[in-house]
Amino acid sequence: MNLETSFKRKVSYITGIVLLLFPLFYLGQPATSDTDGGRGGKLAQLRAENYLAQSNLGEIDPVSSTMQLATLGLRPIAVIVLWQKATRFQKMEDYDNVTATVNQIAKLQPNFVQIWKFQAHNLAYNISVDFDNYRHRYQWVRRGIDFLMEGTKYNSQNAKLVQAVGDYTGSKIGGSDEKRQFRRLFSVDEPFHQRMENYGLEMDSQLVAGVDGNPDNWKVANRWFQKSEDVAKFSDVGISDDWLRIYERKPQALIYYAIALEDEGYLDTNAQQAFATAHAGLVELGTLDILSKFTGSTLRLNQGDEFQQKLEQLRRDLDALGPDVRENLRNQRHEQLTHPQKEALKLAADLRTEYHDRLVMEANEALFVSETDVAEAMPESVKEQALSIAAKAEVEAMKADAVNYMRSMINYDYWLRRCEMEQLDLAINARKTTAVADELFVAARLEPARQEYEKAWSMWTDIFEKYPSMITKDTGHNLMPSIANYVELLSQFDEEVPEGFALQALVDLAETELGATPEPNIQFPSPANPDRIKGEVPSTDYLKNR
Amino acid sequence: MVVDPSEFISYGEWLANALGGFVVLALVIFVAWTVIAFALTAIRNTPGQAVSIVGGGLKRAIFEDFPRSSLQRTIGMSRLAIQEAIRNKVLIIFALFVVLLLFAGWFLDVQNDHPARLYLGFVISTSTYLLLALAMFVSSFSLPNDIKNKTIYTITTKPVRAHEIFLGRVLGFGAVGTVLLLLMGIVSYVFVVRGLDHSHTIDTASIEWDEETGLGTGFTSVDSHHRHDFLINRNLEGEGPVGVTEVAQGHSHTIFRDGENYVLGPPTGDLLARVPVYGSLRFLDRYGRESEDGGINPGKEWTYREYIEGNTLSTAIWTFEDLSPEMFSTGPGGDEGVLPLELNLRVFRTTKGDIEGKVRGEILLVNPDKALPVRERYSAPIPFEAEEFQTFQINIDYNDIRKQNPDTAELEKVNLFQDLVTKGSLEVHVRCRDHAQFFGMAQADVYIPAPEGSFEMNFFKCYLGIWMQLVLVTSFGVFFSTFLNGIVAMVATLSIVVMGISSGFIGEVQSGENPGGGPIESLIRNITQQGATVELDMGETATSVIQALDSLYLDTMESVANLAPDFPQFNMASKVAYGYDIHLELILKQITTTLVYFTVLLFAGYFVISSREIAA
Repeated sequence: MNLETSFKRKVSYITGIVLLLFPLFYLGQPATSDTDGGRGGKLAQLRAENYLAQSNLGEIDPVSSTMQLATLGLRPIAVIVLWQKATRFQKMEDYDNVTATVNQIAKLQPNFVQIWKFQAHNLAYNISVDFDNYRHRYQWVRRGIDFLMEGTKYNSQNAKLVQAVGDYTGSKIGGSDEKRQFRRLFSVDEPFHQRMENYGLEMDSQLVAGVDGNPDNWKVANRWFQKSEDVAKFSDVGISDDWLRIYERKPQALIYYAIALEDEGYLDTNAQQAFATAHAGLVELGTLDILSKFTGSTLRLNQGDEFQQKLEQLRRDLDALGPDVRENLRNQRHEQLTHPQKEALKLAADLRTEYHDRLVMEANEALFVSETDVAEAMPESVKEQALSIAAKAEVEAMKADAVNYMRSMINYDYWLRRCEMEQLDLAINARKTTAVADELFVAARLEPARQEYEKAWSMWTDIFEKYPSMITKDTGHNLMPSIANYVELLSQFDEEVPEGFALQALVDLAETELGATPEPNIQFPSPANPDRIKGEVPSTDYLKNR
Repeated sequence: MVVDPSEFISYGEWLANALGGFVVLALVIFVAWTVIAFALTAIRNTPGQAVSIVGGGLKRAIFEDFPRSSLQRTIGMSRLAIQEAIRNKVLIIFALFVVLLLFAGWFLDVQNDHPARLYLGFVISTSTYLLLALAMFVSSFSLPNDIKNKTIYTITTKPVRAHEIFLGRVLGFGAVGTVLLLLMGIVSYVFVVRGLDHSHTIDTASIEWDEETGLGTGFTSVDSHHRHDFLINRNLEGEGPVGVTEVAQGHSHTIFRDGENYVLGPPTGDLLARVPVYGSLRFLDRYGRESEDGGINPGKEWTYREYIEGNTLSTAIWTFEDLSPEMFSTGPGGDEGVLPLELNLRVFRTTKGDIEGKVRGEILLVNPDKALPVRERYSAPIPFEAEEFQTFQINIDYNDIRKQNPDTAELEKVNLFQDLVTKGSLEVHVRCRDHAQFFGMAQADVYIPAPEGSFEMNFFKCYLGIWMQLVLVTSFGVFFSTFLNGIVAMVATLSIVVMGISSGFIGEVQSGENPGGGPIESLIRNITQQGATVELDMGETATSVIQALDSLYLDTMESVANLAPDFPQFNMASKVAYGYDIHLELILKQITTTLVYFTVLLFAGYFVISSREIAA
């Protein structure tokens, strides 16, 4: 190899390098904040388009960036090792190191939303319950929420993550077995309030203040849901068109706030006021334009009646073109049903078995006559006009169905009625009387307790007569212990629950929910059988009756 | 804190058990050297000559080289190694360590419940990793570089014996490492103490006073990401403490009066060196019979702790030996005194029970002498409420130890040492009182605390453990560099360290405790996306072949790993972090292990160096 060959080789290398710089520049040029809109290279543009650029996702943390850089491209491996470490620490109940490791993982992958969600759940729901002292448990729940809040800093455009902070603040603190203790601890946890304030929540506002003037977890959750709505309006990352699930949380938190007040004994204007606010929230929810996956257009929850009326009118117009067509079609289809289907339809609903239910469902599907079917069966002279009306009717039907579906998804009608009902003085008095009766019963003052219970049942009867749709387990959940007390009280008088007991419907409902308890057939250890040999596998037949 | 069961074995017993292992280690290395030396010599000469040469070498080692070792020459060699290390700018490691500490606040969880544990864990592990990496590099490349640069001629042409070359390197690099370790230790100590030092203020106006008792409660200011609840007694006079704070982030503060205000003392309780006196543990089942299977597992994946069932006769029994009245008595005659017990129990509830209440337990002090009638052996139960995830102390006053008189049913006072202790031995029975609740415990979870040791001394002992690891890694590095080139020697040393650290993991994979199979099986599972706990879906024959190959591989790995030093044993960071004194016996075991490995490697290194015709 002579000098010339070596020189040629070097020149060719340099030429290659220079040529490769062009595609590199095209692909990798970073985006700039120039006024001429420096969009950067292809990769930078793709990141911006798909909301993957750091600046799109949220705050950029120099620590996180340094740690990512320090792993020298081995970030995924470092993350895997850290996940394994975190799992091992958790198994060995070394929770200090779990949090330390989890924080490191989050620093390495701050924009991977699942890490924040998964580990926050781990801290607040899994680790917290390993502690016996409820104060310690609260600290871990708080840590989980704190972790989520930090996640929102790095992923400020992810509405679902912001919503998760609200969910945890609401449901975990206000829905656990220790909800009374947790809510109490939360209301005086000033450092935590300060942390939330740092994330933009106005913690001294009346909007979050509970009865005692301190922040209430449900009302704070409501503010987080407001924040998630604000984020969602700006960026719909992760929502996947499920807007209803974004909007429903805000009023829901207010409802649970009102229920919590009742549970905690605030059976006065505080609770009524809280239900009134929740009701207003639900009404406002009804006026929002929400994208429906059914229709592909925006609908409002309060438009159900409007669509239904239009549909009825169009049906009447259609039927006017051929008065017997719809009925004839139905009769024809009924004739085509199988014998078992016809028999199943005749059977009373409460006598039907699962098999009959299936037959009825099949029969109803077969009997369904769409507006287009009716139009198609019209005489030729009016068919064109009928088809035009049918098309409009189908659209209205779809809209009405979509609204009904959305309302049923969040149990909208029930909660609306419940909020109305709970504002009644009668309802508050009924709850108050029940609570007094419970206190008397616990104090073994049976006669006055019985009088109070019976007074309360009479009030509840009046309420349920006015609001029959309220006879559900949701309404009954805080009444059932009182009813159980009443049954026990009657047994003290050697009496049973009288025929036609006012709240028998609630009792029946509870019994249906629970099902019959199985006979115990598990053998517990005894001196004769110390090895804890289990008996037969418990029969699961009782489940079939549920 | 988790204590390895092997720590409860006394040094004497441990040595008796380990001696066999040490002899095997020495024999394996000696036989390996003899075979290799013979084979290599036989290739170059005849087998007969090989016997004579190898035999001659052995003779020279025993009768000439080792007896005529020179301290002066060894120090000279060490000095060379030190100069070489300094030339290679090893001090940069210290600079790197300081930089890491400067930025530690970035990645340490400052809001952690026990920042002391995190800080200590961080400084100790960082010192260990940096120093061991340094030792590996410096020791592995030194000799091969000398050989490559031919600077080795300047040594081998002088009357230096082969083992002095080895010894000089190890001591020289060890000395440099020691200085670095000392510097790191001092900086670490300052970092931890300064990092944890803080105070809070009390807003006098916000104290809620109970006018009847004169007790005041409230919260301190939020500093260092936490605050404390506090209790002040305003009736207390003098300059002494007038109150105390609750524990937060692993420490509390004492409160003093400062004119009209109250001020807090420095944090206490986070940097400790508790000295536990452990007892042996056994269990009784729910019918009060001796349980061969230990306690119950309520469904925990980790089986370190065993559980006893509440409101049954299920009992955990600790037997403490060598107790004497002088240990606990506070007055003359031995009638006054306190038996302190520290407990670190776990609670497992199967029902919610009283959410705000704690699960209750009881302690019985029992005479282990079974020849005595039962009614004379048992004290009356001493009730307690369990605290979880923190060590809580129960001080049993001598006056509170009572026994029920079976005739009068009255509780009568008993003398602890006369009535319940036999030959210095006492049983402590722990039971859970609440139905359907469980207490979990391991042997180290209940102990008698001896007077507290010095945290600084404990910190030093922990760094002594790092120093021994440094000596071990340097010895291995120098040894491998006597017959391998630099990079290969470093990889070999790294392998020994990794094997030593992972010997437990290798054992777990082989025994199936760690599911997913050996390297081949787990690779296939990874590629074919089969979970670790399901049967490998590769057909019966293929699975058998894969598992047989894995088993062979793991057997070999385990044998090699067993020859490597047990590095995790030297890591005592958790003891310092959790505030437990490092027992002298543990240090003795480590020193013995280090000495054995050092000696074996010294001899092995000597034979290898003397076998190589370096100057040829």
